[in-house]
Amino acid sequence: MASHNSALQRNAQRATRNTLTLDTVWIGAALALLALRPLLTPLPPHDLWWHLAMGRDILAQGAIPTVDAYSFTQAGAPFYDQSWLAQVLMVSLDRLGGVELLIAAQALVIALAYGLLLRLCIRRSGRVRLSVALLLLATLPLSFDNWLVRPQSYAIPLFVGFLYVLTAWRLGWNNRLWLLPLVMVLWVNVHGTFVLGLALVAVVFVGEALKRMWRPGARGQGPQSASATPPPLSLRPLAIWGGLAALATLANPRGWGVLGYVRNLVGSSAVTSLVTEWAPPTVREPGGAIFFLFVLGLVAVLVYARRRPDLTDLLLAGAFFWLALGAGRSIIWFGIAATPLLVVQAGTLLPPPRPAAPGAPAINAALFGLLSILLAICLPWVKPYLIPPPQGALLSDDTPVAAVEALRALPDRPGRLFHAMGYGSYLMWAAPEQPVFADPRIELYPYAQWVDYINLGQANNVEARLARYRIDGLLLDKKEQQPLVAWARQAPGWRLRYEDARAVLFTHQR
Amino acid sequence: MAHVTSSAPPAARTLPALRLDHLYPLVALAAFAGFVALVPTPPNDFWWHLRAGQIVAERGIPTTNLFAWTLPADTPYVYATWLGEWLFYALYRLGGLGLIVAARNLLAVAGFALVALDARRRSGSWRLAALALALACAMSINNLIIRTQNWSWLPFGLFLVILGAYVDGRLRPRALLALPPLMTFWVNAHGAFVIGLAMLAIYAAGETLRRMLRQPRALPWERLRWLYLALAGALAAALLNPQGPGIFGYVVKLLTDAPSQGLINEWQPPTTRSPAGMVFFASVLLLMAALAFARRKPSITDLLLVAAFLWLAWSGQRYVGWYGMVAMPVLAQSLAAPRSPLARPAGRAGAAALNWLLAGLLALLVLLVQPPLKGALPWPPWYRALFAELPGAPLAFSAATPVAATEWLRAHQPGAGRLFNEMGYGSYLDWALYPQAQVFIDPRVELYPLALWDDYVAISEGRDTIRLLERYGVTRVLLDRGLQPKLSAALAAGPGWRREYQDGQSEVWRKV
Repeated sequence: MASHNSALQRNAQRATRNTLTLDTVWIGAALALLALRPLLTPLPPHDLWWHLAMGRDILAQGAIPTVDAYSFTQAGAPFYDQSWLAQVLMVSLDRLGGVELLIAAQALVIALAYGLLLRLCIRRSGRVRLSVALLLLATLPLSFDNWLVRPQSYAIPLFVGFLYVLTAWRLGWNNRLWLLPLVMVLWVNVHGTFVLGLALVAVVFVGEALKRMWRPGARGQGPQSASATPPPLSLRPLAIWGGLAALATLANPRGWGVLGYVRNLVGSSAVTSLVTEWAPPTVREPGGAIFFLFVLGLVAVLVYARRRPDLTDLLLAGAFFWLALGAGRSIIWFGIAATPLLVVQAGTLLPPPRPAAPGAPAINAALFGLLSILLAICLPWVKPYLIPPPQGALLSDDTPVAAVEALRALPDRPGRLFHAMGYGSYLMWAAPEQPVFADPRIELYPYAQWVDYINLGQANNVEARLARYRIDGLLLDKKEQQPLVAWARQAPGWRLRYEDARAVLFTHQR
Repeated sequence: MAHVTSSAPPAARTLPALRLDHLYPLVALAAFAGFVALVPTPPNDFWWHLRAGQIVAERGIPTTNLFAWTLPADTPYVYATWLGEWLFYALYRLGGLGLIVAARNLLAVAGFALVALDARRRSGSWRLAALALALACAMSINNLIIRTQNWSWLPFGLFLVILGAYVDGRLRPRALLALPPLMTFWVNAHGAFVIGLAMLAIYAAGETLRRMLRQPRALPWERLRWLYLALAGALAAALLNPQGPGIFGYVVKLLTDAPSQGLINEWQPPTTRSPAGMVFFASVLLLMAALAFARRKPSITDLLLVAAFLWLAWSGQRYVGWYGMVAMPVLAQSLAAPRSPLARPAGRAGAAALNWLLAGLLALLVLLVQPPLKGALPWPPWYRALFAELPGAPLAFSAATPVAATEWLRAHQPGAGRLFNEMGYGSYLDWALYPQAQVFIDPRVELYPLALWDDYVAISEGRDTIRLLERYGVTRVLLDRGLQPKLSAALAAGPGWRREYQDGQSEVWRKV
C-alpha cells in the first residue's frame, strides 16, 4: 500500500514538473523581457565595429595587435588589446550569421546572466514573483543602458557566475569554488572587469571572516539556514580557490601587464573626464536618477525589513555602491551585487511564502506561446520586416553606412579625415584602408588630442586645429557636431561631397 | 555646630557638572571652530555682497545690475539676500572685516552645535553626538566661506532642533511660535529659507502619516494641528520680503539657471574624488549599515527627511552640508544600540575641575585663532602666504583676492576703457573699485546670460581670445595667473596687448 502511495506521489510530481505552472510563466516572462531589450535595440557604432575590426585582424594575422594600425594621429603607438578573446568571438559570430547573430547572441547572453541572477534570488528568498518583480522593476532599469554589444556584455554572466558560486558556497548549497579560476581564465581575456571577480572574492572573504569573529558559527540567513545553526564556515577553501583565481589572471598574453593596463585605464584623465559613462552618476541624468532611486528604495527596505541583513550581502552592496559612485558604467555591477540583498530583505516584509497556485495549464501554455511569438517577432531576422525603425532597424541611425560608401567612392579621397568618434569605429571596420583621426579606443589617444577633438566639433578655433593636424576631409555627425558642420558649409575651400539625414562629408579643395 | 557645617562642601562653590563624555562633542566642536577660523576665504561670494549691503544701508535695496558694464545698468537683478548683506555691512561698520570673520566663525559653531544637541537628543549619547557632529562638519568643509549663506546656519539648526524636540514630545506647542519670526529673518537673509519650509512640510507630512498609520508614539491630532499652524505661519512669514510671493519664483529661476547649474563647481553633484565628497558618501554607506542593523528603527518622518536631503545633496555639492546636519543625528540614533560601546555613558565622570580645565583650554585655543588675535600669532611663512594682505583682516581672505592689483588699477585710471576680469576678482572689484570701474562679470551668476558665460570661459581658456576681446571692446584685462594661464599666454602671443602689471597672483594687460 505504501509503495502504491509513493508511486502515486512520484507520478504526481512528474506530472507537475511536466506541466507549465504560473511560476514558470513568470520566469519565462522575465527572461523574455530581458531578451527583448537587446533584440529591440539597434546596434550603436561606438563600441561595436572597432572590436570587430580587431577580431578580424587577430584571425587574419594569428596574433594580437600590439600597436595602432588604424589612425594617422597615433600610427605605430603601443596599444594593448586586452579584450582579444571577446573580439574573436564577436567576429566569429559576425562571419557565421552577420549582425543578426550578434544581436541574437547578445539577447542570449543577457538572458543567461540575469536569468542566473534571478535563480539566485529565487533560491535565496524562496519567492518567485517577488524576485521577478524586483529584477524587472528595480535591477533592469539600473542596468540596460550598459547592454551594448561589446566585450563588457560578455563579462556580465561571468560576474553573475562568480556571485552565484560564492553565494552557493557561503550558504552551504554546494562547493564549486573550483569554478572560479576556470572562469577567471576566460574573463581576463574577455574584458578588464575581471578585477571585479577578485573584488567579489575579497569582499566575501572579509564578510565571512567578520561574521566568524563576531558571531562564530553564523552563516547566511537564507531560508534554508534560518532555523539551523550550521558549524563555522572554514575560509580556507575560499582562500585557496580565490588565490588560484588571482593567479589565473596571469593566463593572458601579457601576464602581469594586464593589471597595469587596468590601472592605467581607470587612472587615465582622458577616459575619466571625457567619456560620459566613466563620469560619476548624477541625479540630473535619467540613469543617475534611477540609480539613486534604487539606493533610496534599498535603504527603505533595509530599514523596515523584519530581519537584519546578512553582513556579507551588505558589504557586497556597499563595495559596489562605492564603485558605482565613481563611474556611471559601474552601476550595472552594483545592481547585480545588491539585488539578492534587496530581494531577501524585501521578502521579510511579506507573509511567509505559500505554494503558488499552478494556474490553468492551458492558459499558462497560451501565455507561454504568446511570449514565444513576441520573441519571434523581435528576432533580428524577422523584426526589420515587421517593426518600423528605429526599433526595427539593426543598426542605429548614427552608423554612417552610406556616407562611408560615398567616401570610398571618391576619386580624390582625403588622407587625413576628421570625423565623429563613433564614425571612427565604423571606418575601422568598413574602410580599414582609411586612417582615422580618433576612435573609441580612448586610452590610445592623448588627452590633448581629445580636447582638440571636442573643440573642433564645437567649431572652436577651427582653422588652427585643422592646420595642426593637416586635416583635408570632414566626415561629421550633424547632430553631435552641428557647429563644425555650419562652419564647413560656409568656409572657403571646403566642398560638400555627400549628405544624408545624419552624416555629411566635406573635402578640402587642393 | 560651626565645624559641622564647615565639613560639608558649600553648594555655591560646586562646579556645574561637566562630565568626561561632554568633552567629546566639545573637542569635535573646537576642532571644527579651529578649522573654520584657519581656512582662507576666497573672494568670490563675499565682497559683492558687502558692497550691496552698503548700498542697502545708504540707498535702500537695489533692483538692477549696477556693477557690470556688459549689461545695461538697469538690467533687473533681485538682491534676495539683502538682509544678510546689510548685516555684513553693519558688522563692517561696527568692527571692520575682522568682526565679519568672527561673526561667521560664531555662526558656524552655533549652527553645528545645534546638530550635536539634536544628535544627543536622538541617541542619548554625547559620544555619538560627537561622531555625528564630526561627520557633519567634515562633509561641510567646502561650504564654510564667508557669504550670506552663513546666516542660514543658525535658522536651519534651530528649525532642526525645535521640530525634532517638538515631535519627540519634549517641547510645548508654544516653541513652534519661534519658527515664523525665524522664517521672516531667513527669507530676507538667504535663499536657503525654502529648505526650512521643506523641512517643516516633511515633518508635517511624516507625522500625519504616522498618525494615520497609528504608529507608536505618533503625535496626537491636537499636537499635529500646531505643526500645521506652524507650517502655515512660516509660509506666511516667507512672504514678508520685498518680492512677496515672487521670492519663490526667484528661487525656482535660480535652481534652473543654466549658467549656475552648468558652470559653477558647488552646483555640481558631489563625487568621491574630493575629500568632502568622500566623507559624504562614506557617511551614506555608514548610514545604510546603521539603519539596517539599528535596534530602534527611524520613524517615517526621519526616513523622509534623510531621503529628501540625500536627494538634494546628490544634486549639488552646496547641499551636502544640509544633508549632514539632518542625517548625522539620525545616524547617531541608529548607532545607539544598547550594546554599542559608543552609546554607553562614560564609565567615569572624571574630575569636574579637570574637565572644566580641558574645556577652558579648548575654548582658549579657539579664541586664539579668532581675529584680531590670530594675526598676532607667529604663523609660519607658508601659512601667511595663503592669505592676502588686507588692512583690518590679516590672515582671513585668501591670496586669490587681488588686493595689490586692484590698488595698482586704482592708481592707473581704473575707469578708462572696458575691463575684462576673472570672475572672483569681479567680486572684489565690486567692493574696491565700483563705481569708478565696472566689471566684465562677477559671481552673480544668474544675472548674466549663458552666451556671456561661454565667452568668458572661452577667453579664459585662450580660445579665440583676441577676437572675443575685440568684439566686447575690452581695453584692459585683469587676470588670475593660476586660473587663467592660457589667457595670459594668448595675450602674450596676440598682437596689440602689453602687460602693465604683475605680481605673484595677478596680471594687468592693456590694449595698445
